[in-house]
Amino acid sequence: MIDVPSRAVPPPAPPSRRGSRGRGFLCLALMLLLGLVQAPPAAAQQRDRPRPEPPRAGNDAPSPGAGAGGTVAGGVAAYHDALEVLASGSTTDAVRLLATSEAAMSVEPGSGVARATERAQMDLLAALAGRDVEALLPVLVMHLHLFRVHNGRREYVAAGRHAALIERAALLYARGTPRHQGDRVAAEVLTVLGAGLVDGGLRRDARHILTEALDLSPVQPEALLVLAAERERAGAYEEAVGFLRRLSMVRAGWLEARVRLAVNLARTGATGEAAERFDAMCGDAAAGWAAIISCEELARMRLAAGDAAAAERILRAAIERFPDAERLRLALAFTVDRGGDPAAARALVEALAERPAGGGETPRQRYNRGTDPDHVVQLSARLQARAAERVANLRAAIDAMAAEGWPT
Amino acid sequence: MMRRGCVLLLAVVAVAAARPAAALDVLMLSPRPGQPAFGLVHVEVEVLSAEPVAEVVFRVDGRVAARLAEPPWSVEIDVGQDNVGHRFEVEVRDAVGATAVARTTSAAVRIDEEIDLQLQQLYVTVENYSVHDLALDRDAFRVFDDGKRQKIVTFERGDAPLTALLLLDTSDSMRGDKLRTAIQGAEVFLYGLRKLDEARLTLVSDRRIRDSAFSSSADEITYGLGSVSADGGTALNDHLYYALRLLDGRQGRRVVIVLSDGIDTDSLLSADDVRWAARRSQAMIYWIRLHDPRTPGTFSSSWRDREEQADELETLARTVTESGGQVHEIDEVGEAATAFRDILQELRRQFVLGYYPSRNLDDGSWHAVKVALSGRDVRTRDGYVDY
Repeated sequence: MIDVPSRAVPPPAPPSRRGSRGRGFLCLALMLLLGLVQAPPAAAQQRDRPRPEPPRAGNDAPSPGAGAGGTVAGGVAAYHDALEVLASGSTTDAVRLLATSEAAMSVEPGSGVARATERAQMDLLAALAGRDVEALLPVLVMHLHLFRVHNGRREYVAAGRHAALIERAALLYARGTPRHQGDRVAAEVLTVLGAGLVDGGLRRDARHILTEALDLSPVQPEALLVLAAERERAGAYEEAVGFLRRLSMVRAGWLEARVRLAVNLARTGATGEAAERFDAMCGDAAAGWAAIISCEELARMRLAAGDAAAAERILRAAIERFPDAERLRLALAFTVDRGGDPAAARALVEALAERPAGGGETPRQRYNRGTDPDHVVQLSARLQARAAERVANLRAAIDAMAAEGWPT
Repeated sequence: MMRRGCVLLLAVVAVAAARPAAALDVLMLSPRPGQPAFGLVHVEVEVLSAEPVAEVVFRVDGRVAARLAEPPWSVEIDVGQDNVGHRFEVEVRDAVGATAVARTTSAAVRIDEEIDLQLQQLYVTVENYSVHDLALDRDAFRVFDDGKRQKIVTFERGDAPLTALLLLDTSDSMRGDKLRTAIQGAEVFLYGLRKLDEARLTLVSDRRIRDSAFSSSADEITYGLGSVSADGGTALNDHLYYALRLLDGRQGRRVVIVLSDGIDTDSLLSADDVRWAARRSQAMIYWIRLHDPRTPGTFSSSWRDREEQADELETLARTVTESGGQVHEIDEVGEAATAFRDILQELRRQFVLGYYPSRNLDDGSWHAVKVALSGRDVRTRDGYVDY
């Protein structure tokens, strides 16, 4: 994690990005107005380049109290600085620069200043894409970093601002590149963003972004998994099954996808197929936490069908394979209880109570925690590597634009 | 005159006709048919009579063992220690000479036989308790099992020993000071225990974080709690089942006290499963329900969507009420100590009534139970499963 300053004043954050989309740069502009921005790193200072003119005054002009038109211009200038730093090869410094400039901000988002700044910023990215669409990739990764920083701190307004920009720029990237390749990369960017939104609890926005990712790349595996888990949590089990079936076609071996598919099949009434899938995983000791869940769920299905003896057999065999799984022992107690032997149930619970408490994360908690972060981490790493290869593209595009004059 | 005499005669005939066929009846309350009888045996009958009762004669194996002229109609009779069956007969004679007889036979015990007396115990809370309620005795209460009045055979006040299992939510949402404060609240209860009471403190998230043994010593129960930290999801249903079954093996009055917001993210068992188990347990459940800052009905997990979560909360509350316990709503964990104190106070003021159900089928059927106390509201479990 890049060490960046926190906001001086925590925002009164509504837990929705939709309301904040497109409000991006008001904070930055006001901060510049107040002279709170830190000096850019040396690499940026050494470059002597023309600054853009402030946009025309009008409905989007800053209020007089905000300091005439300098706010928007200042915001755009700070963004130029960050891009310069980024083009010099340091994503970390660029992220720090932008985060620092945002940290001291405490202004109402969505104002005319903010909208004007965001438009100017998007115009700048469009101009970059016009020069060389691959130049956008390092910028997208920079904003993903910033999104994660703010999201991790529950600074939802700031996180939403970056999310909105990432979404637009990713679509811009997709439009500007050869169809399949560009779509796939843009989908990966949106997937990383969507997974972050899920982590931040912004599920509706996550769903929107992940759906966009799948529009671009219908079998993007991580998007399918994250979206399936999101749909499951919302109780939309049929939809979850649909995404997981698609995923099983491209990643048949993903453990988490397999167990989620079985769980959701059972919920949608496809108990036969669910039982088959659970059975296959339950017997697979290498499946670890997913195997334990499969055994629990399979036994539960058998019990619900009135076959307590079968449920008991499944659980006893599972306990042999996973002797430390407490939940299996509790499930066994409940099963024999329902089977009409409360004394045996009590004895099992008493034996369980004798075992030491503690232990690590349980399989059910692992399942509930969300999709395996490793999938998204690996995807994110791939994007970063690709972005690093495109820094030269960004450098060239910026230099060309600086020579010809920045867009206004 | 002649006419007046006829009217009087008709009236006498009418009264005689109106008198129920069984104007005198006697019911054997104890011992119960087929139960073994050794040593001093409590023999008790209920007499239903339109006339004053003149005498009640108790016979064992044909011999008169006692005679009573006034209630209560119960005696202690020494039947010896031989493993044999006995014939108990109680004859009632009223003031007009009518008689009624109740008989029962005790059984010898087979050596390999397990004796299950099926005593049902009810923990009864008298609402708006006052100091005058200390004087209440067993005759003040009426117990109905499936609508039939039952004889109260054991009666204790709230100083009867209790066994409590305190289940504290130790999930992520209780991190830091919240957990410390919750533990301090539980300590109020634990240090208020008496010599014969026992308790166990079980800290749970999606797993048991820490689980003491049952003990009468609060020091022992709370030893080492300073190092505990909150972590993980919540599997409340699973651990409530665990608590109920653990208490089944304990003696005396049994209580589960749960401190949690009730949001269950990870349990394998449903709230209905817990309700099923609670109906088969004699334990009472108290729920100190910590206010959930999230908007009600908006929380979901991979295991329970919003609707299921809302249903589960409702079922849990219903289970608590059915058990004779109560939900104590608190806005913040700092109020837990007061809630624990209130619960302990309530337990100290409870009455414990025991009875042998007059109709035991051992068929898994539900018996609705009601306790009445003249002019007062009382709370107890809604019933039990006969098995």
